[in-house]
Amino acid sequence: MRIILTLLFCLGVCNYAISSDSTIVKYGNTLHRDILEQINNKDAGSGRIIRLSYNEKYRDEVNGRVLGLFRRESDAKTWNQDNMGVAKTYLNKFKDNSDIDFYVVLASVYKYFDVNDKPENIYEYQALNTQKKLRQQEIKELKLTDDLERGRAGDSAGSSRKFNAFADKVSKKYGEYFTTNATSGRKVFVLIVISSFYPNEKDGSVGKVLHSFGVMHDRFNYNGYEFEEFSGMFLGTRTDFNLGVVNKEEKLGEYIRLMYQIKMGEIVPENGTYKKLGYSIPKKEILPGSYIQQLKDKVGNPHNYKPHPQQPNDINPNFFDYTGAVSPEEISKALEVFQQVKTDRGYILKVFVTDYETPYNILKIIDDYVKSPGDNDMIIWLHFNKYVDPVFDFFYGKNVPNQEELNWLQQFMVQLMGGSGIQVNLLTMILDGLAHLIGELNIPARYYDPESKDEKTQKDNFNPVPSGLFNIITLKVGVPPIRLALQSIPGLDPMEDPYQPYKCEFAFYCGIANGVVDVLKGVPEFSSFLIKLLTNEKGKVKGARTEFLEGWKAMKDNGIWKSIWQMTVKAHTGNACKVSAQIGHDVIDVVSVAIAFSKAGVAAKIATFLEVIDPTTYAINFATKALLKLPKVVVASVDYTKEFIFKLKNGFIKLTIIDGKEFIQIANDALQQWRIPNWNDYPPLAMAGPGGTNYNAILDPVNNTPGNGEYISMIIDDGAGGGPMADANNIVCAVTNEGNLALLQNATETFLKNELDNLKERFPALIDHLNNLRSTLNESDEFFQEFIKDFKNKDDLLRRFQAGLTNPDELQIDAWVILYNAGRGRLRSNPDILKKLGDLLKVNEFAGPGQAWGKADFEKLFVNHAELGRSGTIKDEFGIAVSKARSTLSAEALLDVLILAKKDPKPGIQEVLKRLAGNDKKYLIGSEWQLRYAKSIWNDIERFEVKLPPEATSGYRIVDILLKNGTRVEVKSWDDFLTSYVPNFVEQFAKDLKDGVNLDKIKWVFDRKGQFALGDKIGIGYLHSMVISALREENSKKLFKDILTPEKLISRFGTDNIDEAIDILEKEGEFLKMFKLAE
Amino acid sequence: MNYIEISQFNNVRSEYKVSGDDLYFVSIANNKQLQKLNLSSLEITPELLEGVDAFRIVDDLILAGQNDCKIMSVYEFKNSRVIQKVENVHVLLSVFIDKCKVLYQNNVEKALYIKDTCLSSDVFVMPGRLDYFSTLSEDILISSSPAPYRRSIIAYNINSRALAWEFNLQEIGKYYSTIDKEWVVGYAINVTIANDRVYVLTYPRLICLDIKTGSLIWQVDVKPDTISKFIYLEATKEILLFDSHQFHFINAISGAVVRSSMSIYEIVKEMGMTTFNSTSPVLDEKYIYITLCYSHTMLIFDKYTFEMVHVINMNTCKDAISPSDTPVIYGNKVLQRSSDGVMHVYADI
Repeated sequence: MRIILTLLFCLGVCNYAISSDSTIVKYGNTLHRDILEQINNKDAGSGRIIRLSYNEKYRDEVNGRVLGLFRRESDAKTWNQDNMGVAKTYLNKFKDNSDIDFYVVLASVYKYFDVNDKPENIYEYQALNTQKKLRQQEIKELKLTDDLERGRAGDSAGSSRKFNAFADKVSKKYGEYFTTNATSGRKVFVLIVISSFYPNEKDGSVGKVLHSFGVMHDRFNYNGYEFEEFSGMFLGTRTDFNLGVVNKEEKLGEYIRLMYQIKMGEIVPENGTYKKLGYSIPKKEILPGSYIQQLKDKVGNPHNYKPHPQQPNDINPNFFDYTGAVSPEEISKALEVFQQVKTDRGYILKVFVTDYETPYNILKIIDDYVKSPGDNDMIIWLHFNKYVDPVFDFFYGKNVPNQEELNWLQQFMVQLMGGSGIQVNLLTMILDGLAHLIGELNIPARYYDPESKDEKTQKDNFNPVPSGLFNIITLKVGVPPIRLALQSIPGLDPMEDPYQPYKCEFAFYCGIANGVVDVLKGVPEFSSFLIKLLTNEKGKVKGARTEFLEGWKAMKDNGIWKSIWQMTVKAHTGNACKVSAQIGHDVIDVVSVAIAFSKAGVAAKIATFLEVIDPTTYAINFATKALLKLPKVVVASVDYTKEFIFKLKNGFIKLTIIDGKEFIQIANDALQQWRIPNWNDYPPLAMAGPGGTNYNAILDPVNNTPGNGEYISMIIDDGAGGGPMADANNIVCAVTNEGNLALLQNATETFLKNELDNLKERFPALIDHLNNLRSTLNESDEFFQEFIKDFKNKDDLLRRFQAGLTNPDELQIDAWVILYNAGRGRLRSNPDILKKLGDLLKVNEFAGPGQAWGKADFEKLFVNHAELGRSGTIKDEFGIAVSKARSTLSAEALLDVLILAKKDPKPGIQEVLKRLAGNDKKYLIGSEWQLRYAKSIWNDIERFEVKLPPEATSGYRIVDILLKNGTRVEVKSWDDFLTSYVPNFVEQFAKDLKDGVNLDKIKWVFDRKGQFALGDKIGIGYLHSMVISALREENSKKLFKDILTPEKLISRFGTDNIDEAIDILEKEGEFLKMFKLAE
Repeated sequence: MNYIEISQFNNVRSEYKVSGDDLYFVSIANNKQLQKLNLSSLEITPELLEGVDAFRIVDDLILAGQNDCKIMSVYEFKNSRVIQKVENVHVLLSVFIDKCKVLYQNNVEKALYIKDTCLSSDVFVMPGRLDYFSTLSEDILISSSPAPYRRSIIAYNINSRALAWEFNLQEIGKYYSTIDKEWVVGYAINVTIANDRVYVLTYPRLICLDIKTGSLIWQVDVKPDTISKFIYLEATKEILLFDSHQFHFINAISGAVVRSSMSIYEIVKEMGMTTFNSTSPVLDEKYIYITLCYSHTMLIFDKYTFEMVHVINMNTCKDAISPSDTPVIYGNKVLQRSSDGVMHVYADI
């Protein structure tokens, strides 16, 4: 259930009730603007209209949000125009409520005209009379137009019906359209009703009241409210209006939303030039002098429109600038880079730059093309809409790998484009950068080394996009353990501009990726390892970066990092970024040895390999003596159960196990001399321990960089079992009493331990249970860290979790674990979600009669659900890349459907759920839409997924939803009615007709998205016209005739002539009612 | 009762028809041959006619449309030969008056004509159209308003060349569409003419009209918002209505509901199947046969007690079963076509 927050407040006196009069309607008129201007001028700053600033936080999530409603009658009564704080307080109260999409403020403004004002001198009144005279003519002109439809708000007799008619019309026309869920985003709209009271000429009493209403909203660049063109106007009493509007707020909100979408270009008018692409860049994030700002200053000039000699489907890379804002030099430079990418990687890069002056047919051609781009295309489309706000999106051909990751990266481009210091060739660099993040080839130095130069021209050729992207993704803090490790390397050049830490860390990953490419090329799991590190494989249970980090820790714990560290300091030269990259490569060299012994050819994940650099694991793996087969490793006369040698780029490491302890030696490339690492490189710290004992503490800057408030809390190894210890220097360090390498306790662990101890005192059973879970699930520290993050200071929820261990009606901790493992950070602390999920966990039959879904199924469901909630495309079962559901079920709505399925199970629902929680993503779009539509008609459903024939294993047809009244419902979630869909569609449609099922028992329900979302009439018109066009194709007609015998045709259409039958279909509008739109 | 599948015949097109001991059908392959399957011996006689688009059986004649139904051939059973060919007459949009005369719809003029092959005349009768159920009763020709929504039943008097009557179904057939959430004006779902009466099924009711006057003789409410099918039973002058839930025997003369089943829907649901999307029921002396297309199952009920006496699982069907492919009952055999053109023959052995 959504909520619209409507603040209803009256200004002035509200109790006039004057008899109604005839009505008048006008749209888009200047009269309203004049009224607004008067109000704004007169009352500027008086606060009569609530204004809230647009919250940029929600900029990316505005699509698809729906209004909710909260109406507080008491506000209207207690409202005091001198106390605007009430409204503000009220709005703030809901500021963080995720159920509210945007606010609608219903503002009433009264205007009184003095009895001495002669009507002819009152502009509105004068205009009113003029309009009265023109009314007949206007209605004639508006007949059968949408305007008239809307205008019926004021066209019915009796003023109380006016608003009802208006709201009903909205409800009828747009009701279903707006009844679904979405993600988030919030704006404030003001529905303003201006009531102008006019005196009776005879006695000066209040006579006619003119109500005009309209909607205002703030824009990205707020410069004052704009009175929308769809406002209406009518005469009537104040009371009538108030009565009319009661309970209509939601429908009004829906109407407002539609208008907003049209305004913002989300709905592309048939002959307009609005275009809404996937991402917008808020103005406040566009830095002065930035690349985007430079373009903004130039676009929007109709004289600069520049047709492009090539079509978007040009087989070569190209830069399509239709605005004239991009300089020829830049385009020339871009084409050089694009050509190089084509040569290196085979991708065809294309940039489109358009603006609102770009002719619609051009936009349409581009739009059509990017939906089905060339196989090797990588496209960025930047468009400046009517308000010169830049919007952009990416499109990829089917041969471009790792599209999921690329789609995920797109969201960070907003910051990169608006706020990066890149001032030239930004679009080129982005595409160039992305093209090199994917694939299995080495990452050239120009993507991580700021000193890089073109070999031929010796010109700087560093591309800052990939490292910049990494910086943004990691919130500019990178991955601290790795960054700190790099920063701690003695002798490394300072990490200062242009070798900032984030660039060095990124360079390190590039080195890792190149090492992977060298060693593991061709192993699918390592395809584009770099992009996996970057994205952390969002949506997966654990990301590649997280896993890498775990392996990294394991490697450090085993002491190997220290050896690499020592060796690389002397082995590598160059700037900090360059050395970091080389070190990354060294790490993989070490790892590669481990791979050879563990799962070479099977290729488990990097983290696994890092973890196996553990002497005990080696002992097992070395027993196979497979090491000898690796040419990179040089081994001579060693006991493989006790001695291990790794090759680094410029040297070797040897581990020897003696009496169960490992000793590390290093050697140069020629293996001339093994030597023990010089532990003196570690700065010792003398400390006073308890009982007067003195300790030598060896500071390990890799693991133990001090943080604020951190102190040594424990002696880990003092030969006597350890003990608590205070440190006046606030430094966390390792402690040893003999100078030997000791186990280290890091600050995070200390913090965690303290927190858990604290929690355990209050919730012992819960923490014990979590400990068991953690152990069972083999979870890392992150498990507890996240739990504490979610529920610290939320004892009420912790209490419920603990109660849930014995009381099945309380919150179940398993629900949190599911959402944690599914990576659903925002959901997992929501008690409503947890309660619903916990209830479903207890009892369900989602796997089949008597068979319940387990935790893993729900986990997968939420992983997939997160995937659907992101922007971008996904391939459907036809192999077509379609945009993800426009109004994907929210998590709570999804759980609501599952609750329905539990309480009122329908046969076949298990199949739908299986696909929605399955591994094959091609079914996600369809099954989500199936479930979403089913939610609205659940009571009418007989069963899902009726397979015909039931026993068939191939060549069968499935009826998506069968209703209790026998209606068969086919649900489709397409962006367009593509030609590739046509044969299948025609065949199924013809079979529907052939089967003799009654016409109104066949429904094809299309998800209102893509082309089907172009306004109510246009969308359904598009669908119907495409159905007819599809049938009129010669192949279709042949298929139609093959399937439908003359008897069937005559029975359906009264003729067996196919063309006549299609004519009848087209002419008989009701027939097409079997094709409908919903969402 | 123990039915097992004993045979399959390929390439059987829909709209097969039974006459006597034979089942006539157009072969999907073999240049659309009209073929005959003897239901007793299960032997096929091919090549009765070639290039047949559609056909009807009238008494001892087969009327076959050929050449995109531009030619109607009149085939005589007893002599196994074509006795005449009539050009520009659509076999499905015509009424055979006698061996010389045919009343047909002129597709160009959208008018009714009578072609006399003996006199070689072709006479305009009146503007009008025929429909798939059109029947001539004395001077009255029953037809309807244009498809696909036949909102009225129309009767032409071809003697006086005037509209005899028109029965508007828009109000009497009005129904509420649950999925569209609105009222929909009525139209004919199915029409059958028998015994000088016109039986019209609309969504909310089955009605009976006098063929001479078009007056409403009776009406029976049908279970709302379901898929109903009915057949006229000449032997008992009854109508068997299946409303996707229960069977109802209705006296075709009076409209009285003679008897109804009570729990077919519930029993079938318990079996994990759905009664929707069924074929029309067919009867023999004792039993009702009906195929549930979504389940590929034929159910056999005692026609008096409605007890389910047998279930035939049609799991050898490799394609869907169309609700319009009504089962055929012949002696101890039951035939059911699947949409891949295979006629499955089951025998009670």
